[in-house]
Amino acid sequence: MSIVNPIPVGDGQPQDGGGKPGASDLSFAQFKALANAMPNLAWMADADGWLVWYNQRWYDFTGTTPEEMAGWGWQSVHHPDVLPEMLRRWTAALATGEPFEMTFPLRRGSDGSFRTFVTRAEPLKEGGKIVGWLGTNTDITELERTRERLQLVVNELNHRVKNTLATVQSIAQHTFSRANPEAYEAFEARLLSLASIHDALTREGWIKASLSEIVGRATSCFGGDRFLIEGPVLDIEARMASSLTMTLHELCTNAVKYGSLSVPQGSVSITWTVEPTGPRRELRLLWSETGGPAPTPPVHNGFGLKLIKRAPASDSGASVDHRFEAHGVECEIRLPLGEGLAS
Amino acid sequence: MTPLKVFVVEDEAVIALMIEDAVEDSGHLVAHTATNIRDAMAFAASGEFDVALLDMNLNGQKAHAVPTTLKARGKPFAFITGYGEAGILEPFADAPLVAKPFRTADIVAALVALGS
Repeated sequence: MSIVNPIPVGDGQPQDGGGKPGASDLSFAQFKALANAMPNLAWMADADGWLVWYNQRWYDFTGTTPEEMAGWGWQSVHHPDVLPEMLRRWTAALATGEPFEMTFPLRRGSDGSFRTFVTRAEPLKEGGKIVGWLGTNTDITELERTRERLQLVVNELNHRVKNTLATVQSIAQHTFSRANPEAYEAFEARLLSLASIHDALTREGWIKASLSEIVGRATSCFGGDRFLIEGPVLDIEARMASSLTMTLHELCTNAVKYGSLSVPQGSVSITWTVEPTGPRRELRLLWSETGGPAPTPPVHNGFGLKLIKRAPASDSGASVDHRFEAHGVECEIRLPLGEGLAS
Repeated sequence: MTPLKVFVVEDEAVIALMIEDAVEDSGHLVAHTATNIRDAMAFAASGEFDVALLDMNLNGQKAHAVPTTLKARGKPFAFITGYGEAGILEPFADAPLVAKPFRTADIVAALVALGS
């Protein structure tokens, strides 16, 4: 059979956007010119899913004829492995009137290869009743390949960073572990805490890491049951994630050496909230030690304490308030949150 | 435990040194250290050892054939990798994983797991 009755678009009746000059009298020829100019494959179906019209790009890509494609003929350009699931979802959309979206391969006529398309279809309604469907298929093959390549590069980068850190670690171990084992141990612990956050960041494409994972990783090697950790789900930008990890590591180290974790009954609570500050939001993270000896401020600010106070602040306008309270060390970190990342 | 003869596959000499130290400091023996795929494959196929510690990336080449050979010979092995969880190969997902950089204790723990 052949398609004899494409859905006429713009038959002179006022339609959506009809107030604008020219919008109401778009001819079918103009519509076809528009549909053929767009880079997507496009099509129209009637209310029960019978395909009545495709744009020229559909025929060019699939190498088919209108006669072959009419109605449900499009199944012949689908991959047989994916077709059953596609049919199940397409018929479900037809039955419920819900918009359809799915990514699946379509066969290219010129060489028989399959390319990946994201397909979207919207019901066309008149007076609340579905009278047809409008669909597009967008080729995302290159996009997918680029994404895979990018993931490969990120994995490779992570591998190289980790190898370099391991090399530095080995050099340090052979240089001074025998002469100064205590210093080497502190160095190694710092290096490993920095390395551990890389895994979390790599998984998220070096964009962000979840705060609870940052806190969990930083505290895990200091005895997880000594910590009370509580706060809402929140993502932290990559740069901040690294410095926050280092700060938490130093807080843990000091707590084990001098603070609440130096005695069996002591503990640490790490809690955070997100507060509005004007148009933006701010993370407030509180480290609070209890059950340990009363802290005394050190005579000299060691490297650890400098790192605690400065690592987050230098990065992103954060402020750090480190205090020696009667019940133990308290450290409050305030961090302005980026618009896009907080969830 | 009885000292294990450990086969080490690692192409970075400095990291290999650290692995060897960890093996020997924990009372085990280094049977051989391979720094390239050919050497790794040859020793995996016919070398004399009890367990293996493998870096999966040798000069940019993935050493996929090595664990396959080890598995065929029934030699337990652990991966030492910079790739993290993403670096494990599906057929060898049971093998212990030591993430780089590592503590000596991580290597010792992997050897205990392999030797038991």
